Amino acid sequence: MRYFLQRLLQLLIVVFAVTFTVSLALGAIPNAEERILAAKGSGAINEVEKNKLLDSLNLRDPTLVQYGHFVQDLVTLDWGTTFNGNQPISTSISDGLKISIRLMIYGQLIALLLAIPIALMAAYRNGGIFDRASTTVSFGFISMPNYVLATVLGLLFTVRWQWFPAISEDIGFFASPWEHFKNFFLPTIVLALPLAATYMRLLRADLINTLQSDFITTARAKGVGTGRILFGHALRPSLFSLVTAAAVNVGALVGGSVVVETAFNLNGLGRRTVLGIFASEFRLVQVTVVILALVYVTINFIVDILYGFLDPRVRAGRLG
Amino acid sequence: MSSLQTAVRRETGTLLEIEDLATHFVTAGGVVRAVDGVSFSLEHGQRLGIVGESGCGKTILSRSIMGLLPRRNVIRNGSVLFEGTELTTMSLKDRQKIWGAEMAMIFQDPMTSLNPVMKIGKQLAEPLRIHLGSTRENAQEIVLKLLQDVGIPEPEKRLEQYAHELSGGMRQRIMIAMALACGPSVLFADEPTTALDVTVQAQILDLIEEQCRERNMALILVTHDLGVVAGHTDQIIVMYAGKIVEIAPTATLFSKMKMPYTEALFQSIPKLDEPSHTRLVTIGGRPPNLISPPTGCRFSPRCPYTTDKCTSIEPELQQAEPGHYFACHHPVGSDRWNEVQVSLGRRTGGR
Repeated sequence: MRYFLQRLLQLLIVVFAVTFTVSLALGAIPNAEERILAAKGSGAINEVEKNKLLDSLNLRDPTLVQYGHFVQDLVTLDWGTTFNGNQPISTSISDGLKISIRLMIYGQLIALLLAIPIALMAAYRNGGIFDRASTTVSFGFISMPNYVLATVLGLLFTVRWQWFPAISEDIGFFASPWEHFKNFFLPTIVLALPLAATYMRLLRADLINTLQSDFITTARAKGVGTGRILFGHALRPSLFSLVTAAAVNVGALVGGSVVVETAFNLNGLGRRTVLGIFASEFRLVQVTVVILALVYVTINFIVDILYGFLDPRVRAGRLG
Repeated sequence: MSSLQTAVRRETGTLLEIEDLATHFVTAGGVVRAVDGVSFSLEHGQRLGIVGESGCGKTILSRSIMGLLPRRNVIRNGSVLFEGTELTTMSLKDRQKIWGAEMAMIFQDPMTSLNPVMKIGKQLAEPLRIHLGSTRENAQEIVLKLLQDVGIPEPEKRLEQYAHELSGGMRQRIMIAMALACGPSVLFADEPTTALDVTVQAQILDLIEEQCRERNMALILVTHDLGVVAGHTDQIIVMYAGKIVEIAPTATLFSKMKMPYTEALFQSIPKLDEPSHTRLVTIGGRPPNLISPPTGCRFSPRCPYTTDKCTSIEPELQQAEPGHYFACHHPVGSDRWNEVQVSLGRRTGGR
C-alpha cells in the first residue's frame, strides 16, 4: 500500500510539472498573438472577434492566472476550437485518438505475439541456428527506418498484388470486420515488426540470464519438462525489460506514429499534432501534449504496480 | 498417496553402478576434462561422500551421474547404470521421469535455488503433480506432511510465502522437502551446507541423515569439507583433478589414509586441541588446469613426496585392503613418505 501511494504521489507531481510547462509554453512563443491571428485566416477577422479570441486564451493574464485557466479548461473539457475552421479541438483529438489507440493496440499485440515465442525458442537453444537466424532478422528490422518498411510493404501489397488498400480508411471493426482488417493490416505490420524485433532481443537476453539461474537447475532436477521450465519458471522473472519497453511504447505509439499514419494516410493523433504545429494550432498541440503526458504517466504507474506482481520482492521493497 | 512417503524402501543391493564415467567440456581454450574416468558403485541406502577442493570435478560428477548437464559442447563417456538401466543413452523425456522421482538433488545455495516468484507451496507440489499426477488438494496434504518431516514450523503459512521471506536454513529445509517429495531412492546433496551458518549446518546434515535412514534412501554428499562427511557418510571418495584418488569406508579413510592428497586435506582441518593462533595448514598451489593436466600423477606438482616416477607415470588405483583403494606411488607410510617426514622434522613412522 505504501508502494502504491508513493507511485501515486510521483504521478501527481509529473502531471503538475507537465501542465505547468505546457501552459507557460504558449506565452514563450515569440509573436504568439500574430501567429494565432495568421492561423485564423487572412484578415477576415474584426477587432471584436480578435480580442475575444485572445481573451479566451488568457494570453494577457499573469502566469499563475493563465495556468489556473488552462487547468480549468482542461478539467471541464472546454478545450475550445481550432483557430482555422473552428472545429472543436475535443472532436479532433478524439478522432485522432481512436485511430492511434487502435493502431497501438494492434501493433503491440502482434509484436508481443511474435516476440515472446521467438525469444523463448532462441533463448532455449542459445547460440543455435534458430537463435542466430532470428537475431540476424531482428537486427534487420531494428535498423530499418519505418518509412522504408512502409514503402516496401506498400509497394508489394498494394501496388503489385493489390491485396490491401494503399490509403487506409478508418472503418470501424463493427461496421465491417473484413474491411477493418484490410485497412489496418499494413500500418499495423509496419509498426509491429520493428517493435517485435526489439522486444524479442530484450526478452531473449533476460531469458538467457534467467535460464542460467540456480532455480532453473532445481526445476530441471525435479523433472519439470522443457515447456513448463520455459513458461512456468523462466518467463515471468524475465519480463521486466519487456514490460518496461512495451509500456514506454504505448505512449510513443499513440503520439508518435507520424510516419506510419502519414504513409497510410490515417489521421491519427501523431499526424494531427505535427500538422497542428506547422499550422500554429497552439491550443490543439497544448491539449495533445497534456493528454500524451497523461497516457505516459498512467502507463508508467500501471507498470510500477505490475512489477510488484511480476516479482513479489518488489512489493516487499527489497528491489527497485 | 500418503502411503508413498511413509513406504520405506527395503531393497538392498546395488543401486548405482558408474563405470569409467568421463565428462569433458569443449571450450574456446581447449577440452576441459572435468571428470576423467570415474568408476564406483552405490548400494541402496548407502551414504557416500565425495570430497575434494573446488574445481576438482565433484559437482560435475554428481550432475553427470544424473545426466543434468547440457548436451551441447559436452563430451560424455562411460556408463551409469541406475537399478540396471543405462542412463547415459536415455532420452531427455525419460530422464525427466527419473529426475525428482527416483533421483533428487539439493544444491549449495538455497538463496538462489528456489524460484523467487513462485509460492513455496506450488514449488513443493510440482514434483508430486508431475510425477504422481496428484491433484492440488492431494499434493497439498503431502506437502504439509513433508514440511513437518523436515522440521518447518507453521507449515500452512509457508505454502503461501515466497523464498525471500524465509531464512537460509529454512530454505534449505524446503529444498530437502522438495527433493523428498516423491520418495527418491538416491539424494544428491551438492555442498548442502556451504552457504549456511555454522549452527544451521549441523541441523541440516542431521536432517539429511535422519531422512536417509527413515526412507532407506541412498545419499551422495558432495563437499569440500572433510568434517562434513566424517559424521554423515558410510564411504568416502576423494577426488582430485577429475579422478578418484582414494576411496574407502569412512572410518578406514580417517584412520588409514594412503593418499598424500587426503592427508593434506585432513591436515588443513583446523584442530580444536591446537593452541589458538596456530597457523592453519594449507595445501600449496592450486588444483591443476584441467585443459592440460600435469603428466604422471596430477597431484605431483603440489605433493611433498613427489619423485621422478610421480611426474612420469600416472598411478593406477590399487587396493590397500578390501574396499580401500588409492592412487599413489608413495602412499602414507611408504619409505619415501617416512624419508620426507624425517627431513621435515616431523615424527617418523606410520600413523
